[in-house]
Amino acid sequence: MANNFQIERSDEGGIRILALDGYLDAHTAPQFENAIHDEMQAGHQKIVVNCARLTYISSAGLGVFMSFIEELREIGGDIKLAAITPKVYQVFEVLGFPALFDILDSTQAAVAKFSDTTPREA
Amino acid sequence: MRTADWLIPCGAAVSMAVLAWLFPANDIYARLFQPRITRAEAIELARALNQQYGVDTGGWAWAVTTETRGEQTSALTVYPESAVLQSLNPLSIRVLATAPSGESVLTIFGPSGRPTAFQRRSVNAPRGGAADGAAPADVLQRELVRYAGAHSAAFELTSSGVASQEGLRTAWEWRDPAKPGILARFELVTRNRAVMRATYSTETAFRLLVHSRRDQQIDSGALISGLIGIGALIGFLGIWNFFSRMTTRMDHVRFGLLASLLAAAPILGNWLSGNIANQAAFASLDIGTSATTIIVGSMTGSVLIIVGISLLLASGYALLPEGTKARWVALRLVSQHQVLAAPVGREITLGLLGGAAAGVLFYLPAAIPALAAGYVQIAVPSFLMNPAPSISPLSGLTAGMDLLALFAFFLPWLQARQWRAWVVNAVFGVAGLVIVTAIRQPYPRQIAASLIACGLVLAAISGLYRATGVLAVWFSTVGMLAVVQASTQLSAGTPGYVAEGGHTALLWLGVVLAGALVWRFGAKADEQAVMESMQPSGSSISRSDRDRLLAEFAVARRAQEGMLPVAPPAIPSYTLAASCEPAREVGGDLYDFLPFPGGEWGLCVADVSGKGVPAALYMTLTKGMLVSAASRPADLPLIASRMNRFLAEAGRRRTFVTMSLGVLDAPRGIFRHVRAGHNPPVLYTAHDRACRYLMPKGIGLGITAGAAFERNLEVEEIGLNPGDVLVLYSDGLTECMDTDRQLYGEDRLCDILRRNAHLNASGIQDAILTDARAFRGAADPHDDLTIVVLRAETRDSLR
Repeated sequence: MANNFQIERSDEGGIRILALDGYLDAHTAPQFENAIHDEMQAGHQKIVVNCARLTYISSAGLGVFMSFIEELREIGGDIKLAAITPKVYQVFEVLGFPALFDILDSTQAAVAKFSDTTPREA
Repeated sequence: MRTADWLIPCGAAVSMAVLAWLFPANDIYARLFQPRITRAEAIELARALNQQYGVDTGGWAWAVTTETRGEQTSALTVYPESAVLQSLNPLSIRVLATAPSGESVLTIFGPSGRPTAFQRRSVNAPRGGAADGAAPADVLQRELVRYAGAHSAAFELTSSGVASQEGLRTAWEWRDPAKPGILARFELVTRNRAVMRATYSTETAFRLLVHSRRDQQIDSGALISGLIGIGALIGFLGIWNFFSRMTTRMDHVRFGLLASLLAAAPILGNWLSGNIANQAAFASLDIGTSATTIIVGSMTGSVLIIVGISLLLASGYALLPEGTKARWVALRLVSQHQVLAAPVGREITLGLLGGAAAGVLFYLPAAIPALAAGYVQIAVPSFLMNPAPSISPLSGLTAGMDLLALFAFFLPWLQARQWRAWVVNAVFGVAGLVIVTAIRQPYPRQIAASLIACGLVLAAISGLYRATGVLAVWFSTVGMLAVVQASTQLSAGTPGYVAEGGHTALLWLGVVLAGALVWRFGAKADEQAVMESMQPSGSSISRSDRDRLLAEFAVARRAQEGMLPVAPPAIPSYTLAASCEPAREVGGDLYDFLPFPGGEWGLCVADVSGKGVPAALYMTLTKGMLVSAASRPADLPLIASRMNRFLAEAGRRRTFVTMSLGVLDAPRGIFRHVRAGHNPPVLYTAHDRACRYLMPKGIGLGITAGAAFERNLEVEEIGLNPGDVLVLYSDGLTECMDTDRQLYGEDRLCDILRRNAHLNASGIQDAILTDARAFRGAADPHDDLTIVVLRAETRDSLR
């Protein structure tokens, strides 16, 4: 299996940014799952996932978002999605994610959205 | 290029510059021992001395070792101003010449090359008996000058020509006028006027050392040594305990053994360079056992070292939590015989340079005025013993066990505890500092300086570990020893030593460059794949278990196929076709036709997230819910809502199901449907030969138990006229990938549908499946592929 998925981590004003790059499918989903798990272990609850370079996402990849969101929201955190390409957005849209997740145009907008305190329903 | 890739080499360069400034004044060799003669020069001096004493050493075997006189070191630290103590350097270079007959001569030199002792051990010479004739006075005086040098005038004769078993013994003493209790003694034993033994020694009265405040600190050394012993024992038992319970990675023993073979390099180097034979010669002199016994013992010891290291690595590897795997990629490559892979070159290069950079940190506390009295002692002067001194630093691979144990075993163990990150860091920091300080004690007399130095080194090696990995940490000790040894040799200032220092520096620079070449030009390793190869595996599954599982899968597959409708129902004025191809033995896709009360037909395609057995179990669950739903009138939002709640509870949000569920009112030609996160069905309308995707709002089942599901669920109603075609499908169709990982896509589906819309449902289905298969080519089907095709027919076409 080629190394076709990478996660870059950074920090912006106390909010963790995970930038996904490549194919997020059943093979690479565990990598993403570990990354979020590590962030939570480290006590980070507010996470922005930048999907600008995410070229493909399968149901296993979508499952990762779901599996953490409730736990995160219970402790006052959230996952917000940013900069999704139209092709990948279509997948999120089909599954109904826009009704459940904040999806924003840019990382900056997603980070700013965190200061907006209206909680998201689940 | 990562930051560390240039930061570590720069750090090494800066460190070496700082070392050049701090080293000579603070290292125990440069400050106290001051070695001036090399191994080869020591042998040459011994040969010449033997010749003068009438011993022809032609054809004899030579061995050299060094020894530090502990009491002399302590005394000198307490009374550095004593001229008597200064006359004997605590470092002694022992040269042993052995004749084939077994006769041997031991000559001991101070680091400057002045002899301090000489002893003939003759096998055949008659022992005891009266020695005939004392040596003349001028010979006695000559020998006193030879051993006492310029201080000979201060010596007084205390006994003269006393007969003893060895021969006639004459002794001189030099008492320190400033410090009663300190004296130097020279003894000379002759037989038949030939020198048999000469010994220059010093003595410091016990009371002088006991009353010294500094000496009480020396006792802390014993305490620390005791702690090391107990710690090592507990550590070993701990490792054994964990090792015996390892189950997660089945290949850990193999990994440990293969990776620990790197430790064979210094052992092999010792062997080939003659270092082991050298040590054996001395062991046989000092302990009295035969050299062969010593060599066998040494081999056993080497095997034990390798076993110890492999146990350590295997345990660490077996414990390794997911997030730490990246640190083990290079070592994993070594265990996969890919020593020439780029990551291996990177870690060896950066490990050697990082170790060289860390080496200077031991000297930094000496720059603090309050601590300046201390001297640094970080390695035994083993390079004097090794016939090929420049390879001596290689022994760091077996000598730096404290760092290897910390990073390759203790850290993974801590990380596997699932404690908070700061707890792990704190425990690692404190335990690491205690262990490294206890084992290394760089400032033997100053515990504070030792703690500072070891703290700095531990921090530096931790940084190295974060930037590289375990292999680099392992090699860092080699870098550390190389830089200190080269400094020792270069600072000695004599041509022989400077040449050796040059050799050492060049050899290790060469190894760094070779590592860098492998890093740059070596095989590029797929780090992701290497990490995947470290996946805890169930590869221990036996053949019979495998056969049994395959048989059970076959049963499961048939059971699943049995859940799909045998044939589509016959609906007047419509044709209907459906198929489902699982990508694996069992699948997570489902289609069904539901006979609702009142004559309506339900059409459903569902897809469980994930694959394999877990998906198949959810598929079964979904099927059950659909069947029970069909017993009541077709209220689509209610059915979807119930299924959603049930799946959300059962799956705990980790598994979801997407579903297209529609109801056909055949007589009226109306199709109502909901889309719970599923791929939008495609509708072909005959009148305009156009395709459109039907995408009412809807969230996948099981994603959220909240009211958001119901609020976002739309029911869409469309009319079907003769010639219209409706295709429900799973993402296995539109996300079917070819060998270049291109997706089949909605456009292709529309295209093939338009071109085949004149066929009946099964004709259209065949056309789509054929096209998708042709598109996929040789690529593996990565997802289940399900389609349901419904076509509204005219009465004519049905005839």
